[in-house]
Amino acid sequence: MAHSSQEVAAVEETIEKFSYLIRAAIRKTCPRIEKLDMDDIEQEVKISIWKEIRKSEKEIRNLGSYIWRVTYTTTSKVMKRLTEHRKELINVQDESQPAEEAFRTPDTSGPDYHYQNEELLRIARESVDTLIDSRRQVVRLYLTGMSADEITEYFGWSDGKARNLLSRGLADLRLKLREKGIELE
Amino acid sequence: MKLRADDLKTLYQRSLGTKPDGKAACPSEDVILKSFTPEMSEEEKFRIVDHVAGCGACRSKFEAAREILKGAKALAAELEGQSFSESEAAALRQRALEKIQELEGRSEREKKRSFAESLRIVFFRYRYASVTAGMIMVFLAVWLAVQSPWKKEGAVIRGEGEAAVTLEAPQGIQEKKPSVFQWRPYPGAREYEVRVLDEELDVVWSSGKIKTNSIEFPASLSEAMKREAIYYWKISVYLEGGEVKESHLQEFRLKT
Repeated sequence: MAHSSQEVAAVEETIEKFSYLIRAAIRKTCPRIEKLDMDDIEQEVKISIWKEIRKSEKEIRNLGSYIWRVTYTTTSKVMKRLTEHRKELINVQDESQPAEEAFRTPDTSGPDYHYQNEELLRIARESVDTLIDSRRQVVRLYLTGMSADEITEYFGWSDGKARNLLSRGLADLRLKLREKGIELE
Repeated sequence: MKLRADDLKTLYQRSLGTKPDGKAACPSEDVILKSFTPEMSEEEKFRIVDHVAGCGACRSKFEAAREILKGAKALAAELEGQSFSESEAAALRQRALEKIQELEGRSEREKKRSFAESLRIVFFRYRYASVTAGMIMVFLAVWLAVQSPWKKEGAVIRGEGEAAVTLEAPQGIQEKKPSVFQWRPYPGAREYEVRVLDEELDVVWSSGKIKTNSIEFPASLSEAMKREAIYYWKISVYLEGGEVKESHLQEFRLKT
C-alpha cells in the first residue's frame, strides 16, 4: 500500500473501535439480534464511514471534530437499521403481545423476584408521570440509568442545574410514593 | 413497604418495558439523535424524554443513540487537536476508496458463502451422484480447453511492491488541465489501456489499446471535466502471454 502513514492508521484504528462500540450498543439494546444481522450492520457502518471520508475537504483542521461528525451521521443509519429489525421481530397481528418482548434491554429482562406486582409497577410509573416539568424529565433520565453529568450534557445545562432538579425531583417522588404506602430508602 | 433506590430504577425500567409502541406520532431517528446535540431546544428535549418514557420503540432508539454517541465522543477526543494536511487528506480519501472496495467485495463473498453452505448440505445428501457428475464436468472442461482455438485473456493481476504499475502524471490537485497521461514503462508490456473514472467509479473515458507509455490528455475529456470534482485514472497492462496487470486508482482533480 502506497500510503500507510501513521495518521491514516490512527483513523483506521478509530473506525475499528467505533464498529466495536456499535456492536456493544446493539447487543445491549437488541439482545435477540442474529449474528448475521449484527455483522451486516457493522459492515454497513464501516462502509458508510469510509464513504463519508471520501467526501472530505482538502484538509482536515480538527480530526477529532471531523470523526465526531462522521460517526454522528453513521449513528442515524444504525438507528434506522435497528428500527427495521424491530419491525421484523414484532408480531403485528397480535396486538396483545407487548412490543418489548421482541426488543428488550438486558436491564429490564432480568428477573425481579420481589416486585412482580403489577400494581407496584403502575404506582412507580404514575408517580414519576405526575412530577412537575423539568423535574419529571430529569428523574426519568436518571431512572433509566443516566448520571447527573450525562443529564447535564444532554440538556446542555450549566453544572449544578441537573443535580439540583434531580434532588428536588427525587424528593417529590419520595413524597408521592409515601402517600401510596411505599418508603423510598 | 420499603423500596431501595436501585430497585426503584429496575422497577421503573420494567414499567417502561411494558409500554407498547406509542400510538402518538413517534419522532424520527434523526430527531431523537438531534436531541443529543445543542441544536434542539430544551422544551423539545423535554417532549422527547416524555415521549420516550411512554413508547417502547423510541426508548430503544434513544438508548442506542445514547450508548453510541457516548462512546463516539470518547473516540473523537482521542484524535482532538490533530489535523490532516491536503496531501494527508488525499491519502486518507485514497485509503477510504480501497477500504470501500475491500468491504463491498467482502459483503458479496459472505452472501455467496451462505448460499454455498446451502449447496454443501444438498451435495452431502447426494454425494455419490454429485461426485460422478463433477468428474464428468471436469473431464469435459479440460477436453474443451485443450481443443478450443480461442485465445483467452489471463487472470487480471494487481501488482504490489516491485510488481506495481507506477502512474506518474496527473496526480492530486492540478493547477490547470493536464496535458498528458504518463506512466513508467512496464517490463514485458505489449500494450496499455488508460481509463478515466468519475467519483462514482463509472468509466468516463478509455484510450483503447495503445503501445506507448503516455498519451495526450484528450480534448473531449478536458472540456467535460468539472472543477473540484474527483476523478481517477488507471492503467491496464497487457503482457506477452495474455496476462493483464492493473494499476491502482490514481486520484486527481482540477483546482477551482
